[in-house]
Amino acid sequence: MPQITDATLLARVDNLQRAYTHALERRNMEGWLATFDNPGSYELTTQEHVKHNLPVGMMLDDCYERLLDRCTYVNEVWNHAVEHYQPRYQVYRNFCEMQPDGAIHADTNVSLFYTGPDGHSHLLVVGHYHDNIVEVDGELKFRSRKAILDTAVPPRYLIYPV
Amino acid sequence: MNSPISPIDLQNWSDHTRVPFSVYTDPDIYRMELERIFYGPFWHPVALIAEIPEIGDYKTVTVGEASLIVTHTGENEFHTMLNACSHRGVELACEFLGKATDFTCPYHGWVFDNKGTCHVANGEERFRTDFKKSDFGLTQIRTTVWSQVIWATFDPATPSMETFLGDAAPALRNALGGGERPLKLLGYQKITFNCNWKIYMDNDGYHAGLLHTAFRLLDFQGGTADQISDGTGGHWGIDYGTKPYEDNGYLNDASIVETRNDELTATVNLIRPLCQSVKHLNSINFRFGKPLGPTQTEVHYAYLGFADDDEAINNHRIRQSANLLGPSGFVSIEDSAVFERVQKAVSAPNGTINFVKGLADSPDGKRCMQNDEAGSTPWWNDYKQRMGL
Repeated sequence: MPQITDATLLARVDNLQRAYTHALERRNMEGWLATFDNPGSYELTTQEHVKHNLPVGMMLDDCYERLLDRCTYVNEVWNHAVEHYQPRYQVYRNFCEMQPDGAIHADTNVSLFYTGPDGHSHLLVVGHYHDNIVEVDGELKFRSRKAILDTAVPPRYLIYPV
Repeated sequence: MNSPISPIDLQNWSDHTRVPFSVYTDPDIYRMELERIFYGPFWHPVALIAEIPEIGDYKTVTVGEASLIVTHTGENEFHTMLNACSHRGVELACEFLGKATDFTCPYHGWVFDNKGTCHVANGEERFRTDFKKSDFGLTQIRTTVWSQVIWATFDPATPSMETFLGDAAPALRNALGGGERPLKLLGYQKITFNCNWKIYMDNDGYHAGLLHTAFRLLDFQGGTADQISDGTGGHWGIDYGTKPYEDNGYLNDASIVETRNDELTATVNLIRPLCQSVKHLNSINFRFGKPLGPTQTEVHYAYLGFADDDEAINNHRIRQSANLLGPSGFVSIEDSAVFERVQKAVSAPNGTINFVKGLADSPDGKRCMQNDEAGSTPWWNDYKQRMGL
């Protein structure tokens, strides 16, 4: 597939990535949801699963309704018990290709650090995103986002999507 | 304000239902647990047949702190061996799951087949005169298969699986689909819990309707089934069944909590020392645990379906398994939070964890109600004696 070289389009892709991480760093689940198209999907899995062709990973929101429900989990269901952490993202674009149907296929590396309530900071996960991005009413959105972690065993439980 | 329950320390521990905090933090206690429990008379699950279904498949796994290789070597034939070259102790296999007919040591090139027999010992012409390759096979660990799970023990005195599990066996067998229908591996969720391994075991399973908000929101309250504690160290199982979910509108996608194909069996099992298995709705998981010192525990949740599942139920199991009952599950994430919050609290001196609910009706804890704490007390009674505390 042809690599996208249009600087304006690449900047729009980067802005979508930024909107995604910006929302999660502020525990703004509605902002996270707003980066997805409807229909849209989100999957969090690991490289180990990809290698062994295993379908059950760490999170699987395979329809827009599931994305909505994940917002409910974080905002309502879990809030009383979990120890929230502050996520901080470092992402950089590996490649960005235009698909024949006009969708954008992007691959982006991600490192996610977290700071717990005790003020100590650690690396949470490392991996990459495998995205299909579409234009909806003049905005870029994720039609599907698959986060594939190199990290098979995170050092604590995950509350938010990666 | 005085606590109604006075603190005690380890030296004066007399009541096994009141467990001193230091049992969950002391490095010396942890070392003793490795010797007396993990390398003692307990069976440990090391693999599911579904993880290594073909002859030639292998898995690496840690029991206690011992690195092991589990190999599938023939029809219903499995070996568990130390993952250490018999020459100079180098770890032979690094991959979590793999396929190999032999293992070659990267250090001096010794070669072992997947039953552990040594076939190549490079330079043996200059070894000591009484050297025989046949004396240098990999160290074999006693292995058995029960209900499609491969179990291993370091202790020749460990009783048979039937005696080991006792009356806790039926619920575990039910969690695995009855034991005969071939299981299929769907995936894993692996996690580090920042807690002692016994905190992980103390605080899961019995409390479904108490802790989990999602159970209440979805009207999945339990609490009426018997909790049966039995076997070596006090395993316990709850075989409580479930009722079909009636959509109350809380979820946008209620299909995620549907029970399909009339699989109403629901069970929770704690197998001592460090294993759990849960079947709820159409999700089946088997959890392998390993201690990472006294204050951390790594758990691998293996998710399962059946080899003869049709596409529809297979997809349904995948969706439920990925989202409901794991360390970040919709229903179960509070477990993860509670494990770690208990560990933070038990570093204080002279505190105790107290098991109280249900003891009025079940002083020995062997038969109690689902949400009772009494079911954990046979374990603590056994632990206290086994550890000489």
